[in-house]
This record gives sequence, structure tokens and C-alpha cells, in this order.
Amino acid sequence: MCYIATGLAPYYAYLQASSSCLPPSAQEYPILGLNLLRLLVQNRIAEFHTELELLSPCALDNPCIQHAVELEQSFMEGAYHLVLSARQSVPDATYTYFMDLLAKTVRDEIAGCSEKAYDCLSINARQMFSSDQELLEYVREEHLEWEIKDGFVIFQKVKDSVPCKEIPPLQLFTQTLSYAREMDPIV
Amino acid sequence: MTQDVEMTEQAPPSNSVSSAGPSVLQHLKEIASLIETGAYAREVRRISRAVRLTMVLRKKLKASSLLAFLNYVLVPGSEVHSRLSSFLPKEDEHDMEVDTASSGTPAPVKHPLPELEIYCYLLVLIFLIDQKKYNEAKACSSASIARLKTVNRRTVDVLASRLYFYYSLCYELTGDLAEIRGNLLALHRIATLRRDELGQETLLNLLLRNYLHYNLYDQAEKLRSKAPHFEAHSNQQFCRYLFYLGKIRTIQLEYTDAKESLLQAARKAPQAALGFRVQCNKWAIIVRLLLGEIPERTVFMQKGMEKALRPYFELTNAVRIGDLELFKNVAEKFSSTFSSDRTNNLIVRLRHNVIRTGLRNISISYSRISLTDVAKKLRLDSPNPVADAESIVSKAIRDGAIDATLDHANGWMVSKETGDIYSTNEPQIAFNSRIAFCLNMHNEAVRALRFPPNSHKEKESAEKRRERQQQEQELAQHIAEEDDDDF
Repeated sequence: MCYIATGLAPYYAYLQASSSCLPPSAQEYPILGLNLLRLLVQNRIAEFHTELELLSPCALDNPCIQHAVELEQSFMEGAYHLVLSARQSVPDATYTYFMDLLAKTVRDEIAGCSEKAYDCLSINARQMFSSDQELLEYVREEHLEWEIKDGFVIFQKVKDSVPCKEIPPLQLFTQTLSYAREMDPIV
Repeated sequence: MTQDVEMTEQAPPSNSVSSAGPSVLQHLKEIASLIETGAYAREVRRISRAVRLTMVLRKKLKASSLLAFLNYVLVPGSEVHSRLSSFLPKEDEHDMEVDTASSGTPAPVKHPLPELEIYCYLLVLIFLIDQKKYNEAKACSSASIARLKTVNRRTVDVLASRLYFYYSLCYELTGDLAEIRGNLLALHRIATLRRDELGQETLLNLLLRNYLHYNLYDQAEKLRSKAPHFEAHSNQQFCRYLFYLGKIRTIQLEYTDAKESLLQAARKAPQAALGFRVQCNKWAIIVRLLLGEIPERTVFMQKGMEKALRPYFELTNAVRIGDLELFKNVAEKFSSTFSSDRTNNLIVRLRHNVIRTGLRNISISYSRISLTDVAKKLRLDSPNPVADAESIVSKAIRDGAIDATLDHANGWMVSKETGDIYSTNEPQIAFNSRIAFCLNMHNEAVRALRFPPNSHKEKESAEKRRERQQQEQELAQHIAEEDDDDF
């Protein structure tokens, strides 16, 4: 699974090309799927897609691979509930480990999104935590800037405040000077 | 002396225009003398001109005239001669004799220049490929590559780079590109050691093509980022490089950079290279869609491309409207096109953009809308549409796609007033980027200007100008043909 890290990728590509040496393993797709999942958990989406391109169309129809692909899609869309509920439909028992890790990634994502999207949110509304206690712990550890008041989490507006109305003088100077410098040889 | 050479050199193009001129063999002989003078004077320019002239002759090549040419240039009975002539079919004995007779006694060249030898290889190889004799072509190209490795002359570089190209092409046509990957890497290393920049450029592109053929994006990117970089020598190679680079970046989700390279490749490609430009446009359209931009209608209406871009046009339409249902239908309807273009995976990624666009439309039209309606409008088919809509909207807000806030208690989305864009620095930034683009274009144009040596000494006469224009035309035609077999 970690062949990417060990730089053996050319070797595996070669093996794939000359399939006569070794019969395809029955574990091939589950393991490829696990690898995809691993990349997803670590939020390495670019590598996820690079790996995906290597798979043949028939591999994409395999349930193990499809599972990971669908997860990525929902993850990118922001349909986090689908991601979380996919835990029940894992194609292989080994996948649950990564699904648990994924839940953590999703929780961080949701936290990041809520921070931007809501002004405030009642504590009961957070489905990601089994108890209020857990939520409070999470807030204390990860997001100290959140304020908790009367059963609501109030997100400090980390968002950019009123757009700056001033003209940035220094930037304009340098820009105008560079135009002048470029125009000089032309004229 | 040089003046004399100049004169003889001008002869072939003017003859080739009047098609009833001398035979193919005669042309080939002229090209050979061109190569000879080029090799002695160490003028790479002449050799590249010879290659260009050959491309004009390409359609007219026949086994008989080739054989006669081999007899003329190479020593009959020598190893190269017998090897090369063995590749040629021996059908029309009669024709051959006539041609050899007309060629008269073999030329006095006893030890052919390596340039001429390599040129013979190139000629035979092109002929074999055009005759669709791919297995012979493979054998011939492998032999030529083996020979090339032992020659280290800068005047060969131009011919060598062409040979590399056809070497890879004939393996691609038989579908065994993977076989020659190791060899190409070795050649690239040799070219790098010899500082043969044209060869490096060509080989790097061939390697990238080789990797991308098998979707090995990771390896392609690793090679690309580590290979030495220098200013491009050939426009075609640079176009290809940009195209491959754009593809790699698209796969790795660097859409902004990918868009830049793809658009640049499409723009720089010669007008006649339609196939290549269509490919560039297809990828550029998808990348722009993935970036959340909607390509203008004119992109799809470019001359000669309407038909090829039709599926992408409908796709764009679906994304523009933000209709998931329509998008799904289009993706299914043209799935065979998309999979032959190998853009299927990218289109899967687009689903997310369709939702985004839909959402943006909603956010613009309504100042406040309930999440149930959002889910209905987006046609989300999931067991829990409202919760999904809520998280989708919140992610869109975080990514800056829409400007709104969510109210969980009431279950609605409140769009923010869009501020006056002219009160921000936005227009200034946009203006700046345009000015920077224009200035950059000007600088590049200046840098790309090429002046022939001695041009400042003598004024260009009408004769000369005609010749130069003809050469330019040849060049354009040549580029076109070459790119055509690329796709």
C-alpha cells in the first residue's frame, strides 16, 4: 500500500504492463481502494486523482474503488452526511479503520465551514459529537477563538471585515513605475 | 564562394513550385547537397531547411527513387546500404532501372558523411511509416537510433530529433510505447550530456507523451520537474510541452496553471494544426469549467472545430445552467467521446461545479431561501436532502463561491448584499493583470524576433524576399503536416 512512498511505482507500473509474470491478485482492488482512501484521509486530493487515472475503466466499476471515488465526490461537494453514512456500507472490514480517520477529517472540515457560514450555532445542532462535553473539549483544543454562550457557539467573525476603502499607495506607486519602465523602450 | 552556394540553394524551391520540374530523385540529390554544404560549413540552419524540403517531397516518395538515392549517396555494398535497402520493397524492377540509369554513375562520394547516412535512415523511415509498414519501420528506427548514439556532431542534432520523433511514432502506432521508454530515457541522458538542446526538448516531450499514454502522471511530473529547462528552440516542441504540462497540472488539480498552459498551447500552435488545437481546446474548456468559469460561445464556434467541440458545448451548457439532471444526461450521451478523449474522470469532477453554479444562481436570485427549497432546486437525490444542502452551502461559503450566511435554527440561507465592486481595489487589480499581460506579450514578441545573419548589411531584394516568404510558407506547411500525424 505504501509503495508510493518507497518509490517503487515504476516497478509496479512495469508489473502491470507485463501482466504475464504474475497473475493479478485477488486483493488488488481492495488494496488499491485502501490506498485511495488513505490519500483522501490525508487530504492529498491531487495524488488521489493521479492514482485514479492509473485505473482501468473496469477497475473503476469495482465496488472497492467505487466506494472511494464516491466518498471523494461527496467530500468535495460538501455532502458530509453521505461521507459519514458510508461507514455502514464499507466493502471490506479493513476499510472501517480509515473511515474512522476520515470522520476526524470531516469533523475538521465541518468546523472550518461552520466558522465561515454561521454567525452562531446552537450546541444541540452539532451532530458530529455524541455529547456536549465532547464538543466543549474539541472547542477548547482546536478553536479557542470560538465563544460559547447560552447554549450557542458564537463564531468570532474571522471573516474579513469591511473591505478597505483606502487606495494602497505603495502598491500603486510600484505598479505605475513599472509601467513607465516597460513603456520606455517601446516608445 | 558563399554567394555561389546561396544560388544553388535557391534552386530547389523555385523548381518545386512548378510541379512538372525534375524528378523526386533530383530533388533528393539537391537536398543531399544542401546537407553536405551544411555539414561542412557547420550551419545547422541548412540542415533544418533540408528536413523541411524533405517534408514537401514526402507524399511523392517511391521505393524506386529511394533506392536510387541510396545508391547515389551511400557506397553500394556497404553495411548501411544493404541494411537500408533491405527495408525497401523490391516490386517495380523496371521503374528502378530507369531511375538508376537516369542518375548515371554513382557519385564519387566514397565515405558518406554521417549527416547523409542519418538522413538516409530518416528518409527510409518516413517512407516506411507512410506505407504503413510499421514492423519494418520499427526495425529501421531502432537501427538508426543505435547508429545515432555513436555520432556526436551538432549538425546531426536536427536530423536526430526528427528520428527520435518517428522512432516513437512508429512504436506508438503499433501500441508498444512502453517498450522504448528506457531507451528514450537513455537518449535523453545522452542528449543532455552532449548539450543537444533540441534533442533534449524533443525527447522530453516524447517521454512525457509516453508516460501520459499510460496515464502515468506522477512519473511524468517527476521527470518534467527535474529535467533541465532552457528556452525553447522549436515552437512545435514548445507547444507540445505546454499541452502535456497542462494535462499533468489538470490531473493534479492545479487548474489555474493548467489553464494558462493549455490556452497558451492552443494559441501558439500553428493554424493548420487543427487536431492539436482541438485537443488543447477540449482540455482548456474542461479546466475552465472546473475553475468555475464559463467559456465564451466563440470558443466553440472556431473554424473547423464546431463538430468536435459539440459534446463539450452541451456540457458547458449544463454547467452554466447548474442543472444536475441535464449534466448527467449529457455525460451519459457523450460518454464514448469523453472516454476516448480520456476526460471521463475530469467530467466526474465537474459534478461538484454544477452544484456550485446552481447554488450561485440561487444565491443571486434570492435574498433569503429555505434549505428545503435549495435542495429541491439543486435536485439533490439523497436520503437527507436538507442536511446535505446545509453542508454543501456551508462549504460553498467557506470556499468563497457564494457570499451568504446560514441560519440553522430557521433553516434558511441569507444572501449578503453584493457590495459595489468599484468601491474595492478589484478593478485596479484586474486592470493591472491585463496591462501586465500586454507588456509581457510585447516583450516575448520582441524576444522571438529572429534576424538572419548579415541582414543589416544588405537590403532585402525582391528576389530574396520571395525566397524568404517561400521558406516561411514551407515551414508553416511542414508544421501543419507534422502536427496532423500527432493526433
